[in-house]
Amino acid sequence: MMLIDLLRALLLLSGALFFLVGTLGILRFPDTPSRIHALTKVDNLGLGLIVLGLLPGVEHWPVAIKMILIWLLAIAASALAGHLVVRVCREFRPSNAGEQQDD
Amino acid sequence: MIDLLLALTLPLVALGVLLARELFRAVVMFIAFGLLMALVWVRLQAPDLALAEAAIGAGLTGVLLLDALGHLRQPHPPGQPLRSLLPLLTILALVLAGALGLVLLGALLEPLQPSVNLPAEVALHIEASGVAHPVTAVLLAFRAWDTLLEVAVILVAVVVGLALRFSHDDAAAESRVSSPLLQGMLSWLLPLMLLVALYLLWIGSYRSGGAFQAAAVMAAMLVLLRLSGQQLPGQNHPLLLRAGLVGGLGTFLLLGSVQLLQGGAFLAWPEQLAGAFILLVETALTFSLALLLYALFEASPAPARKGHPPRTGDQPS
Repeated sequence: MMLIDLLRALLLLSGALFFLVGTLGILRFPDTPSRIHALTKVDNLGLGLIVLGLLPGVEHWPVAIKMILIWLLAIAASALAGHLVVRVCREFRPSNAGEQQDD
Repeated sequence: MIDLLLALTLPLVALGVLLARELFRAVVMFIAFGLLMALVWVRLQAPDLALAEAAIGAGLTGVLLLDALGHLRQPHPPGQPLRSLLPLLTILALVLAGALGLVLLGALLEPLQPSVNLPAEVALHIEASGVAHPVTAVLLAFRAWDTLLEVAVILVAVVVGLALRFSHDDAAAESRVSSPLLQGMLSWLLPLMLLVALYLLWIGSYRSGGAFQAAAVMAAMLVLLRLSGQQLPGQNHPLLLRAGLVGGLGTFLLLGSVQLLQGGAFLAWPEQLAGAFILLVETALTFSLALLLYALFEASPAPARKGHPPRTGDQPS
């Protein structure tokens, strides 16, 4: 039991850490594509780790399925949004310097 | 801890919206504000409001604002008559905001006098309403008048929006985002969104959910379809569109009048069929509100997407 709790804490903390790093990336990276890279890759991993950490504490299995589904949807949505933003970004500015677009 | 963080962040983000130097930044801050607000509603144990705030306050309003922003970026004829009025408008806005703030402060300082314990009253009469979820019972049984008038207000807003839109002839500007990935994902996402909308509608009778939330999801579907360049079925049938727009209110009025025929009160549901009537009204409202919310989006002229650098529209704060 202790081991499971330790593992969960580790998963949740590392998930939060990934979010932190991803946010740092959005703030610090110079151009839109690399910001999207930070947003989509790191946050999806962070969310996955958090979901994984929360799963053992779930009492009803439909809730667990919903949480996994949310994670998958978030992955799909962020991949799609990132793709579209970069596409629009390219259309506007071949040089890609400046603000982040709406996603 | 979380509450403290939220309480501190919310005013900061609100300030960010007001003081943002660019309109785009302000809009993004506003969306963030809506999402934070939804979190606050969750913390206040009002999941219904949280759903509505996230879907309508942050999502749909955000889309509308971004859309309006795209329109603002279109080249305007020189000479803006509003410029000279700006100081006056600023003072007016400040006075209004100040007055509203004072009223709110007064309301906060007023000692609470619970003359009627509303949650207890609702719990007492919920059997008679025909649904099991107190929020739905309030919205569609106890205070159905409010909901009816709300829908009417939205309908009027959309009618005005559409009337203004038809005076623009340049609405045919391209506003498409085309991408094979988007098309592929849409065929996955849209059925899922429809499922979520119907789920929200259905669980409204016993849990958080209902017509407004379901309608927001459906409106999002329509916006997504529109932005991806799909032809909406029935897009070119004004009659069909109008029927859809007024259908919810019409059903509401029609079913609400049923008891009138038997000498009852307006908007009083028949005792045995209350649940079924509410579900019918909610279903009609969902589809109608989805069209209404979408029409608000559609009513704005198409944004300029081609050839305009997206960093203009600086606004003095």
